[in-house]
Amino acid sequence: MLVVFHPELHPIFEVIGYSVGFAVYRRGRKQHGDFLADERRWMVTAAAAVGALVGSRVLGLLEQMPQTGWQWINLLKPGGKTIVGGLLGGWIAVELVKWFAGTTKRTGDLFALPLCVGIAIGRIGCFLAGMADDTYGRATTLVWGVDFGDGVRRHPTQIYEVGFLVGLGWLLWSYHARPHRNGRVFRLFMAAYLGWRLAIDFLKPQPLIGGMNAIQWACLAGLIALGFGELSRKQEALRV
Amino acid sequence: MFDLLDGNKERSFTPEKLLTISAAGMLLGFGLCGAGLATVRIEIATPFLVAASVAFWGSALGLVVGALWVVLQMLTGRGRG
Repeated sequence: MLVVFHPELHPIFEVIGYSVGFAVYRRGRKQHGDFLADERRWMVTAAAAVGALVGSRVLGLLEQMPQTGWQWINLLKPGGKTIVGGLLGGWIAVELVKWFAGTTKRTGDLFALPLCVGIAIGRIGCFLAGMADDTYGRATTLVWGVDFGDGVRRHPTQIYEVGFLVGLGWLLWSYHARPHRNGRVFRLFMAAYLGWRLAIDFLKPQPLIGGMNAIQWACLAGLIALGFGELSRKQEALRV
Repeated sequence: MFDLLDGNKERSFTPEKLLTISAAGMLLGFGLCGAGLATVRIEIATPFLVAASVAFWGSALGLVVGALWVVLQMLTGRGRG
């Protein structure tokens, strides 16, 4: 199989991912409706985007810290961003804005499917960027192992993730179409994606801290936060 | 204090839209996923640098303007239902 790996393909697929994700979001909002008014929805979206920017950068640099060390100037240098940091940063920022606004309504359901689609498209760009992008897997002797340019056949973890996201997207789409508790679709997406990354990152040759890389530790923290959230909701429901 | 559920003033361009687009642009400007070492592998990253710099600094400016716009709105009490 002839694959042309080139780092320039990464931003092209990233732009397509953002654009298609936004189109899917608009379609979903039209289809399912939205209890938030336009301006308020944009406020949530802006909080998510800015939080994603900060979270993605901070976790991306923390992941590489065992190799590069921590320097504040690295925050302004190219490279070093991660989807998990983006998701967690966006989630935290939206919760902060909602706390500031005094609302407890769940606002994430409409973002779940677009995130699935956008990440899947972006991951194709990660794959095509080859060795320049640090998202490839460990060496493997399996027949579908891919040589990203260093002469070693590796797990194409980006393609595994695309397959996972296609399945998850279909599941979320079916789930969203049925009656469900508000916020459930987003929490399902977060739990599934963080669980996936916690597992699949064992196949990536990233620097480890205490047996896992920084992204896996962040996934674990996110899953624990989701678990606590679910428990507190159940306890509230029992009290009512 | 404002209420997320109330108020819907239709405007074509808002600070929230500017912040969203700028944050996405900055993410784009940073380039590769997980490649913190792109700073080391500068020969690989070079073709990115011109386009990425434009996206990065343009978006950074957008973020600053957007943030100031939000603060200004909050101070003047406009656009908050």
